[in-house]
Amino acid sequence: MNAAYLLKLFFWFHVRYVRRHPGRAAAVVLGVALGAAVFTSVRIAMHASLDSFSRSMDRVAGAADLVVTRPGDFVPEEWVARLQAHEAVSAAAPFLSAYVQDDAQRVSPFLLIGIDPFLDVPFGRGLQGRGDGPAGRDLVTRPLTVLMTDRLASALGLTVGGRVRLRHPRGAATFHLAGILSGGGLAQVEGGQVAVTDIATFQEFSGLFGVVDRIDIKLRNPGKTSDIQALQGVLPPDLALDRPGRGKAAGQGLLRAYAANLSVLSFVSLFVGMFLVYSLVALNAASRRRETAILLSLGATGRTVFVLFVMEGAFFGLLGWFLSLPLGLPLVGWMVEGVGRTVSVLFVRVAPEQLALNPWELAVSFAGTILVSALAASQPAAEATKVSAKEALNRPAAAAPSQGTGRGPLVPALGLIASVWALSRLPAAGGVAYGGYAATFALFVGFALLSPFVLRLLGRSLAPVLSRFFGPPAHLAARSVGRSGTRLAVSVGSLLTAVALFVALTIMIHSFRNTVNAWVHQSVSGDLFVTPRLNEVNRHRNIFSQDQVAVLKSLARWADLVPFRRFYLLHGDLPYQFEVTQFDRLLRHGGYLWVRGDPDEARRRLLDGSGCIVSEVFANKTGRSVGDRFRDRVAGLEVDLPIVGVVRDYRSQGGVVFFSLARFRQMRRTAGLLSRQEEWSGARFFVPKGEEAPDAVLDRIKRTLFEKLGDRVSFIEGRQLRRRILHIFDETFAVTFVLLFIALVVAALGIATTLAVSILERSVELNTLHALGGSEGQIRSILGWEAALLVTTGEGLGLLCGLILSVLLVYGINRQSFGWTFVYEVNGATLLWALPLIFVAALAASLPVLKLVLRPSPATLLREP
Amino acid sequence: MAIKGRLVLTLILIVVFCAFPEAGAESDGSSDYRAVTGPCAFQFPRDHGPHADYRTEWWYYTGNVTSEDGRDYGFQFTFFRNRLISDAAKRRWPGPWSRWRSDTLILLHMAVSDLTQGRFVHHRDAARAVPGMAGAGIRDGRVRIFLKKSELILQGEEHRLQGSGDDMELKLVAVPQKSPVFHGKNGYSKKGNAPERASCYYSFTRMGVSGILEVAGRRVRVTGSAWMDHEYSTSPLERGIVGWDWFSLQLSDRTELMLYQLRRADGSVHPVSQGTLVRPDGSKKNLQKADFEVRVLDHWTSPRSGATYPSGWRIRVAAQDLDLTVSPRLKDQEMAGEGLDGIDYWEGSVSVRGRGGVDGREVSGLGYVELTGYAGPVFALQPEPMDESGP
Repeated sequence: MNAAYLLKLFFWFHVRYVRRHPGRAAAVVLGVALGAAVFTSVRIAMHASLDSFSRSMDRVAGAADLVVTRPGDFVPEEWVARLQAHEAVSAAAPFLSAYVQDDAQRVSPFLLIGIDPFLDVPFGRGLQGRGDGPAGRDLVTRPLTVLMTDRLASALGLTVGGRVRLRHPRGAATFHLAGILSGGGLAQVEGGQVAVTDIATFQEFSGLFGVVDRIDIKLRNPGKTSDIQALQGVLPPDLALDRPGRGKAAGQGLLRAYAANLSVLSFVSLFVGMFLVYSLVALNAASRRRETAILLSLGATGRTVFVLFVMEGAFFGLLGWFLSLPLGLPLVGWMVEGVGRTVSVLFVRVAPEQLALNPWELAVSFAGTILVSALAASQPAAEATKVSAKEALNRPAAAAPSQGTGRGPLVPALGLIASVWALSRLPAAGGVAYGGYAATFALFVGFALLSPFVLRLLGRSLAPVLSRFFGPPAHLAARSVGRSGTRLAVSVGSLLTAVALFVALTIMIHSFRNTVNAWVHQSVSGDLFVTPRLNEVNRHRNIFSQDQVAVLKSLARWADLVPFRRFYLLHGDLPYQFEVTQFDRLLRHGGYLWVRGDPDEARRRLLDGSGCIVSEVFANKTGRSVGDRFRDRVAGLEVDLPIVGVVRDYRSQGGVVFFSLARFRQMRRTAGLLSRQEEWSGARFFVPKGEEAPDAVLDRIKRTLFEKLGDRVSFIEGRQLRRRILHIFDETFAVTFVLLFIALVVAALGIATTLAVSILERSVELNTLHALGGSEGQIRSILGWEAALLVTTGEGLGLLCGLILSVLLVYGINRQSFGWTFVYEVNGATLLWALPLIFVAALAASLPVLKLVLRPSPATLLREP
Repeated sequence: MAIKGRLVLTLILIVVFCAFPEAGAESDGSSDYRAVTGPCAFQFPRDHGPHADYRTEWWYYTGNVTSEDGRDYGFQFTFFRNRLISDAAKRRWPGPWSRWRSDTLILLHMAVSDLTQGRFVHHRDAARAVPGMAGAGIRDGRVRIFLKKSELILQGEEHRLQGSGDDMELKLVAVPQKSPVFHGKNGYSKKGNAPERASCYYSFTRMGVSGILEVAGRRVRVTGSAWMDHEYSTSPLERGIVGWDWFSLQLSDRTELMLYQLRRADGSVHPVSQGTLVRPDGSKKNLQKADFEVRVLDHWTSPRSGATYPSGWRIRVAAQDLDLTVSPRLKDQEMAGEGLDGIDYWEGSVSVRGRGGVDGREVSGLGYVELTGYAGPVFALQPEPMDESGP
C-alpha cells in the first residue's frame, strides 16, 4: 500500500466527510483531548517529581563510587583519613546534612550541607571554582558562613553579605551569606532549596563533633572488585559500604508505585475517551456503507478499507492530542504542584520544576493516544470490510439493528472477568502491581463487552413492564435499546468504566480512611508529642540532650511519659524505621491493629523484650512474618530478634519494626555503645483522666516545656497531630478525585455523543414515526427513556464492576504497591447519594441532544436518496 | 628550581584563602603574622621544618632523571603550607571548635615530564591540616610534611619524596651534594621595595636523586640530579607585579645558577629581580638585576589556557662570562589550573648549552624554568580587605 496514495484517499474519503459533520467529530475530539490532557499532565507531574528527586540524589552523590555509613547513626570522622590512606582509595570526603529553618520561618525547612571544600573537589559537586574569591575564602576561614542558591537567598530576603539566623535541632546561630551557589552540582539539590557550609561550621553549629553522616569514596580502579572487597575488609562491622545509588533506589521505589497508580488512573480517562472514538467510527462505517461499497467496487481491497477506518480513529486521536496541549497547560501546573506536594509529604522531599516538559513523556502520551484511538477504531473498521461491493448498485442498507443476540462477546467478556483473579495474583515487579493493573483493564473490558448482552436482556425483559406502567414510549425505548447491539453498548461501556472507578475508589478511600482513623487513634495515641526541634524532617537523627531528658522526666508527675527512639534504615532497597519504645506504658494507653500473630503473646514478648513486631508493609515487602527473624545492624548494634506479630501502620516512608526501648538500651550498654544515659528522639505524654481537667494538665506541661526548653523542642498536641495526619490523607487523594471527575465528564460526553449518533442514525425511523402521527413529545420521550435505560445499565454494571474493582484495589493493588491493606468497608451512604447524582448528571448531559430530533423535515428525510 | 613559581603559587594561595586587613600600609593581613625583615639566621635541622608564624611556606623539589633503559624524565614535587587565619583572628572564633577548624592548608603540586614520550602529567591536591589528613611538623630533627598519601621526610641528609596522584607515583630519595645556599643576604631574599617584602630562602642546589617514577602505569627506576628550595614568607608581592620567570640551572662544571625576573604590567622588570651563582666549591655570588640579561628566543601557546609562554632564552651573566641558551625539553609543561587554586603556570625541564663557567669553556646542563602570570596577571588576585568582626 502506497502511503501517499493512502493519505490522499484518507483525505478524500474521511476528512471531507468529517468536515460535513463537524459537531460529531468535535465531541469525540474533545473527549479524547480531555483524556489525553489528564494522562499527559499526570505523567509530566510524576516525571517532574521523580526527576527532581533523582537529580537531587545524583548531585548529592557527585562522582562518588562508594559511600560509608553507619546505619541509624553517624560515622566517626577519623575514618575519612583512614580511608583516604587506603591504597584502593583515590579520594575520600566527609558529608553532613540536616534540615534547618530560618528564625522567621519565611521558608519551609531547607537542607544545609556541610562539606570540606578541598576534599570535595574530586567529587565534582560544584564547589570547585576558578578563583571564586571571597565566597570560597570565607567559607573556610570564617565560622558561620554559608553559600546559598539564589532561589533560597531571595526567598529569605538575603543578599550577599547579609545575615540570617538559622535553627538546627541542637541550637541556633546567625550565619553570614558569603556567596551565591550556582550552576550544576549542589545548587540543584532539592530544587535549589539548599545551602552549603564548611564542615567545621556545620559541626560547631550542630554540635556533631567528631562525626559525619557519611564518607564518600572515589576508587582508583572503580571496576576492581578486589579493591572493594579489600575496603570492606578494613571496615568494622558497624560501618556499611554501599553504592551511592542505594538511597536513590529506595526513594525511587517509594515513588514508583505511587507514579504507577496515578498513571493508571489518568489512563482511565483516555480509556474512556476510546469509547467515543469507537462510537463515531462505528457510526461513520455504518452510515457510509454505500460509499465503502463504491470504493471496493473501484478496486480498493478490504485491507485498504480497514486501514482507512483505523486511520480515521487515529485521526481523531491526533486532533484530540493536539487539542489536549492547550487544555492541559493549566492542568499541568496544578498537577506538578499537587503531585510534588503529595510526594514531599508522603515519601521524599522534591521540588519539581513547574513546566519541565519532558519530550519522552510527550512522546508517550502522543503514542498512547494515537494507539488507543486506532485500537478503538479497529473493530468498526473490521466491520466495514464486510460490506459487499454489490451495495454500490443497490440501495444502501439502513443502520443495522442488533446483530444477533449480543452473546457474541459474552464468552470473551466472562473470560476476561474470570481472568481478573489470576491476573491479580501475579507478583509485583519493582514494586509495581502490573498484574493488578492488567486485571483492572481486563475487568473494564470484560464488563464493557457484557454491555450488549445486558442491554438486550434488559430490553426484552423490561419492555413489557415499562409498557404497562409508562406506556408506548417506554416500551419502544426498551425495545430499541434491546436491539441496539454494540452501538449503544459503547456509551454504556464508557459510563460503566467511569462509574466503576468512582465506586471502587470511593469504597477504597473510605475503607482506607476508616482504617487509618482507627490506626491513628490506636497507635498514634497520646496527648502530647515532643521531639527535638525539626527532628521529624531530620528523620529523628537527633536525641534529646540530658537536660532536656531531665525536664521531660520531671513532667512525668503530671502525665505518663512514653519515650521512644526512631532509626531510619534500609532493608535491601526498602526504607524502614526501627522504633524502640516503652511498651509497658504505651500499651496501657494505646496499642496496635493486629494483622497476624497472637496479640496477647506478642504483647508479652514486647514487654519483656524477647521479640519484635513489624508493620504489615515491612512484612509484605520483605516476606518476613510471624515466626521469622528480624536481623539488621542498628546504630552499630547487631540486632537479631524473632518477629512475634504483624500490625497495621500507615507511615508512607516504608515499613516499621517495633522493639522494647529498655531491652535495646541494655543491648547497647552490653555492646559498649551507649553514649549517654537516655537516648530518646521523641516522647509522648498521656494525661490521665483524674480530678483535674486534661486540658489544664496539658497546658501546664506545654508551658513548662516552653519555659525550660524554649524553642529547642517542638511539641504538638495529639489531637492536632491526628487531625493533621487525616488531613494529609484527605489532601493526597485530591488529585485522585480530580482525575475521577474528569473521567466522569468524559463518560457523560460519551453518553451524549452516542445518543446524538443514535438519533442521527435513526432520523428516518424517527421521522417516519412523526409522520405517522407520533408527537414531538412522544418521540422525545422515547429517546429520554432510552437515555435513562442506558445510564441505568451503565450505572448498574458500573456498580457491580466497581465492587469487584474495590476488592482488587484493597487486597491486590494496594498490597503489592505499598505493602498495606485496610479493613474493607462499603460506604453505603456516599454511594446512595452519589450514584443518583451521577444518574441525573449523565441524563442531563444527554438532554440537549434530544433537540436534534425532528430537526430536518420528514419530507426531506423520507425522500428517496 | 623555580622559586618564583613557588612564590607565585604560594602568594596566590595566600590571596585566595587568607586575606586579612592590616592596620597600616596595605590591608592584606600581613601584620597578623611574623614578617621577614632581615637575615634569617638559619639553624638546621630546625629550619628544615615548618615556620608556622609565617603565613606561607614551601618545600620545592625539581629534578632531571634518567631511567635504567635510558629514558629521560623531569619532575616537580612541591608542598605548600598556608596559614588560613592568624592567631589574632582565631582568638575571636567562638568555641568549641571542630577538628576541621584548622588554621593551616597544605597543598601539593606534582608533575612528571616524560621527555622520551613527550608526555606531561601533573597532579594537584589540597587539604586542611587535620589529624591524619595533612600536616607539617618536625620532631627530633625529623621533618614530615604530608597530604593524604603523599609525604616529604627530611631526616639527616636524606630527603624522601613520596607522591601519589591519579596518573602518577613518585618515590625518590635525594641527598645534597653541596651545603645549603642562603640566597640574598644570609637567606633574606627581597621581593619588593619595602623591607618586609621578602622571604627567608635557602636551596640545596645540587642533590643526587634516585628512586621510582610511575607514569600512566609505567614504572621505572631512575637516577639523576635534583634541586630543592625551602622558602617562607608572610608578605605578598608588591602590587603591579604580573608574574615572573624563574630559572634554576645545573651546569656540567658543577656550577649552579638561579635567576628570577619579576615582570610588571608594562613589560619592564622590577629592580629587585635577582639571582645566585653557586660555584663548584659551594661558595656563592649574589647577582643583581644589572648583573644578568635574559632574552626570549621563542614562544609557545597553550591550547588549554590560551596563554603564550616564552619557550627558549638566552641568558648572559657578564661578570661570570656566562652565555647560555636555555631550551625547554618539552614544549607543553603547563600546569593547568584545577581545583581550588585554579592557577595556570608553566614549569618544566630545560636543557642548557653555552659557554662560561669557571674557565669560559663550553658548558651544558639541565634545569627547570617556571613561568607565571602569562595566563592571567598575578595582581588580579591580590588580597582584599576582610571583615574580621566575627560571626
